[in-house]
Amino acid sequence: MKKKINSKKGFWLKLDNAAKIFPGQNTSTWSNSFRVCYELKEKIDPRILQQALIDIMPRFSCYDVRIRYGFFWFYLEKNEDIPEIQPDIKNPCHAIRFNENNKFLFKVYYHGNRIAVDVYHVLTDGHGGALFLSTLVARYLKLLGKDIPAGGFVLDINDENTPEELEDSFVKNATSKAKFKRADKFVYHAKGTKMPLHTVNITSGIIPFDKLHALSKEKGVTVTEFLAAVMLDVLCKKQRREKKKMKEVSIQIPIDLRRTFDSRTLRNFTICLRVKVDPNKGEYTFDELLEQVKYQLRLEKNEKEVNMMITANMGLERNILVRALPLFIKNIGVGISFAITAEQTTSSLITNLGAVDIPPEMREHIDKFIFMPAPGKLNAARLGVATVNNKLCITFANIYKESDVERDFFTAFIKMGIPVKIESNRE
Amino acid sequence: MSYCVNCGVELDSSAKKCALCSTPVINPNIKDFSSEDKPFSEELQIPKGIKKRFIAFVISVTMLVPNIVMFFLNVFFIRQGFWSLYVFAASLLIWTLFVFPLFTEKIKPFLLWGFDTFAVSIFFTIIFKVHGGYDAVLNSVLCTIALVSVSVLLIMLWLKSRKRHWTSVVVITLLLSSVISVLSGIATASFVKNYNFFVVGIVIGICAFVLMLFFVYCNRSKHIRAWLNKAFYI
Repeated sequence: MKKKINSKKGFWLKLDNAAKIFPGQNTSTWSNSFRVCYELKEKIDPRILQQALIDIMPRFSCYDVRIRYGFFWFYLEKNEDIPEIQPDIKNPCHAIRFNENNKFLFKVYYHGNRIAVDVYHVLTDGHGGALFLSTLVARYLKLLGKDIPAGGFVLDINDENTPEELEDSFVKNATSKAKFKRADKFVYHAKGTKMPLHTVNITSGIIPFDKLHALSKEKGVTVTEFLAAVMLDVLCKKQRREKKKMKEVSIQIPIDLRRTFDSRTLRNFTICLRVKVDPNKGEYTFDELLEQVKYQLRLEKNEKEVNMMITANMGLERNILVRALPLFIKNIGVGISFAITAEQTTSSLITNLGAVDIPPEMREHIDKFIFMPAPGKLNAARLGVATVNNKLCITFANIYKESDVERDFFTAFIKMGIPVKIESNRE
Repeated sequence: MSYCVNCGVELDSSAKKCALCSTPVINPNIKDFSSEDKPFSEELQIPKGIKKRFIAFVISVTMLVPNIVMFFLNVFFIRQGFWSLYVFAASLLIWTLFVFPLFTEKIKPFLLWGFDTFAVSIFFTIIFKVHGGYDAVLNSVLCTIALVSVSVLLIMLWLKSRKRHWTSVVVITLLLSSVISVLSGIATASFVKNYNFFVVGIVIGICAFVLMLFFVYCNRSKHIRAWLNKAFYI
């Protein structure tokens, strides 16, 4: 049989530095995947959505892949199959199996007015996921006859992938000579009744962005810092109510490094910073928490500090002994270390995608953007934040049945005079 | 448009109760919403445990092959006793302890414990019966297995009824260990006709009991806990 000539047939990619750890963490019950979702103003037509997905795939060649086992590392290889859309489910971001879903590492869902994509973190981070979904929705609207230009998070599907878009920006930018010491304590975790396997409680709170922005500006902090302070306050108070031995409360905040290092990559390029307070030092007022978050975060969020962290992460990958270990041994090592220490050093996670920049022509068809982080293993409630059309959407992924963390969090805004609208998959 | 009277948040029009505090929504004008009008789908997608079962199946077949080979070797070539039963007993024990749980979608602890007790009993029975001449030892071993099994079942039932503090779990475990040691010492001494076993059982039982009393005392006395913290801090 004559071999089909395809310019992209031999296309393959190494996993980026952040992605290297995720396949090892993958178990039959948990995967590190997140969800990005647009709610449109009209009902979704699945037939057109499927066509839009097929149309945009060549533009995202680093997502048009399947994961393969190499001898020393996993790698991504061009997937010859076609991704298929499917009706939405109640339990997004459940465990990913590499051989299902036509071997794609993302899943596109539709439900009512919503188009959602569950993305395995090996492919990209929230920024890349939002780019992919925005381009998909723009193409979908274009197929419906709307005139949507490219710009912001919407890529031109006629353009080719550039090497900058496919690069591992960690490798390029990890140049620090300083040594980074990790010294994190095991911290407080809110406990509760676990949900059945493969299920998660999702609660979204929709807040007017201008009101929250004005309030945080008045306090001299950013929106992310404000939300982190509210979450710290909620967790500190919850811990105090439990009347157990007090532990530190720590919140993980992934930071997009694209602007810091002027990167255009479509793959992972974030680093997680932590803000923490020790309730044993005394009861913190909300203003004190705001100050703690503001100074801790701003101290670390600069090019030199971040470069030191990514260089430390790269150090393990560059270590000759680690590189020489066969993949199955690396996997066992990652699996064991993750099983023992997973999320032990963080009480929760707040990931803020910021304002999703889409063309005004597209904005009028969009109601809101929802960003949901991967459900935790120990973290009770993790939250993702994104803003479109003055609607800031905070989405909790909670592995416990209890909703007290969400309740305390959202009612804090009500007490501050900011209205909140709640949507949830809870029955 | 509905609001929660308890939390003050606005709720989705299709919500029947507040997602934050479960307060029911009472809205006489509420219409029936179709599944598509609700913000989240109601379809649950549970991945099947194919991978786990597949691995269990592969291990089972891999374990079966040497058993069949040994059986034919024993029957047709090396006919010196039923030595292939040793392999069978060991395989059965390993399979029941480690492979069988992989076949179950949801772990049922009582069922698993029952199977484990059965497999351990079968293992010792085959080993002693094939070797021959150790009936008394076998009886004492089976008696000890039964005692341990019943004790663990009791602890599991006790733990299942409600959540217990870890200190009470340790106390109960030590108490049962003490009882098992004494009873197993008595049983072994009467089967083997050697009263040294009885003495050993009593000594272990007393040690476990004293340890339990010490633990109870430590648990109740703030003074002793403070002293232990001071003297043995790491």
